[in-house]
Amino acid sequence: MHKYVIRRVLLLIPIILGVTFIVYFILALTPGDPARFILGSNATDASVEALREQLGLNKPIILRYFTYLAKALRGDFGLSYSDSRPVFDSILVRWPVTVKLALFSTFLSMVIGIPAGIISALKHRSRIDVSFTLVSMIMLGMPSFWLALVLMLVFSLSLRWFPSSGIGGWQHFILPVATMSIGTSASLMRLVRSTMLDTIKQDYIITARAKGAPERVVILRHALKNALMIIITQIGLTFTALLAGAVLIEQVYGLPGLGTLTLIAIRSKDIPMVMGTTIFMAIISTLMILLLDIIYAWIDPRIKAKYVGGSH
Amino acid sequence: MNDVLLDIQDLEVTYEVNNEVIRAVNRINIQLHKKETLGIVGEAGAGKTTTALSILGLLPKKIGFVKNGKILFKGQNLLDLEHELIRQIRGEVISMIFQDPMTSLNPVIPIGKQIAEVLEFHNSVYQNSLMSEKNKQKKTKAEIERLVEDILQMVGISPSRKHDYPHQLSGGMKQRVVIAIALICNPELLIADEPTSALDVTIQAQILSIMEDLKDKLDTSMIMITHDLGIVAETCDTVGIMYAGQIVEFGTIKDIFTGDRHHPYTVGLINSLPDIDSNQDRLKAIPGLMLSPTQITEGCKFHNRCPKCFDKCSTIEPNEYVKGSHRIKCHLFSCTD
Repeated sequence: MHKYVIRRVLLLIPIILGVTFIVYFILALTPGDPARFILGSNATDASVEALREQLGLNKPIILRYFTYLAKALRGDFGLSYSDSRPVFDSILVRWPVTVKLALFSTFLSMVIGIPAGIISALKHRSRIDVSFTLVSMIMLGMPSFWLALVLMLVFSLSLRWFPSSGIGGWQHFILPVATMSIGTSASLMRLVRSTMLDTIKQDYIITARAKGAPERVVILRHALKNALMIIITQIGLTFTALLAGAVLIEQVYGLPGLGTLTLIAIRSKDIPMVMGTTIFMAIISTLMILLLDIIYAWIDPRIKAKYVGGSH
Repeated sequence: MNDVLLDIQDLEVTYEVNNEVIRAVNRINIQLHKKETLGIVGEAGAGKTTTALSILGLLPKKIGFVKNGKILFKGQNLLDLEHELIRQIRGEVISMIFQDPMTSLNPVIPIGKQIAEVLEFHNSVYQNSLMSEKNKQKKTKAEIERLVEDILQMVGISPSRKHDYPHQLSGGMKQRVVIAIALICNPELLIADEPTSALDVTIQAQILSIMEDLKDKLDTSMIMITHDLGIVAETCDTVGIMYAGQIVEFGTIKDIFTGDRHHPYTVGLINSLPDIDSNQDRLKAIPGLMLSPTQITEGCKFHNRCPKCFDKCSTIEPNEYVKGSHRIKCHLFSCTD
């Protein structure tokens, strides 16, 4: 098991390096001069050129990339172009909002999606199943920015239950989390449903029934444990999708998270800031996937066996 | 011979999928006596497995239906039993060995636990009339563990491997585990659904001899479902030949393998066995295919493949010719005698 975990952790290194490489080159190769952005359109060419020199923008791109990487490895992510404060400090202040948003939404999607999927599969083709499927299709079909506005209109402007924007207590998280989890819980439900339908047709389920297993044990021990393999993978993907989705939702609900930070930085060509937030999000996503892969291996003995080394 | 354990009367099972009715089992009658082995022989799709699943009430929900008939086990109709009562019987009084050991074990549960589970499911003292003969006491965890180790030993697996997962075992060993699961509660009836079809020929003999030994040791009656007449000849006391959801011939092993009166399908089955003495190049197959079970056909179900088919075979369903323990459902004999 240790071997498996170590292997997976080592695999994170090339993934994160790859992410930095791609993002850095995209930023460098897209049009727009950061120095011009900082100084504004009234600045003279000479002062822009001087700033370019100062920021090191005149050096070859490969060199710049490796200089950045060398600094970043020592924990120095540079200063933001726009407010000249360390990028790392801004991230430190803002990351909890985004990660909380993604985690709560993932959790809520699981709480809704998994039981609904199981019920739907067990009551296959019943009225419950049909209505669950129908509702999930509607939920999947709604774009999140539109949903966010509708929820805001209904629950904050009309009913005045929750604040419409900004950060504060837990109330501020309810609408954003609801918006984000509606789509993902629907897709998780559909996956759980089809996986369970597939699993309960397996021979070992008939064996379990033939052994005299009560229906509850058949479903929870024999079917769900097998179905979990696929569900866990999906949960990892859901989390990363939500992390990315937070960029939009934070914007709509005016939440000061990493998403808002990234968006502003991209608009103003604030290269160190974009790099910093992207690397941070990449690390969070890969860590989450790593965690789920470890759980996966822990559930499925066939995966574990590959790394433990044949005991027989 | 009079001690009837299982008596299936006029059993009729259909599957209903997408408004199509599949007549899987059509009014069959089978009797099994205590401590005997009954063979059910037939080709794929003849309704053998369906019959077995109906006994345990394991037909797929909302798809498989028992339309008619009775399954009397010690005089009690299993089809009338409540859900909880039939659950208590499964695995404890009647248990089943499935065809494919590769898929019939749960891949994520250690084998020892899969065996122990059976004892746990039946580890309460029931008020079930069909179990009155068993003197049961609640077992402790340690007792269950010991029983699991004992049964593993009996089927020829080292008890130290009880923590292994199914993927760590070979096909033959998996089938031994399946047998251990089926026999750990000392069932009165064991239904083996093609227990060796998925195994190598060399392993087949081993598995069959383990089953025979345990069956004798535990005084279990058995239904052996197979398409292999060789296995039937070796293990069974009575045989039912099944074709298109019907029992076309039923009798003791002597009735089926000797004598001169047989259903043409039985004759075809026996002739299709390769004969080592003759120098034949081709196997003698029965030509044609079984009629689709979705079709409603008149007459004998075998008439389209029967070499002895005559006029009324395609229009009138044959009655049973009965002589002692031997029953044949064919026009060739029903008018004589």
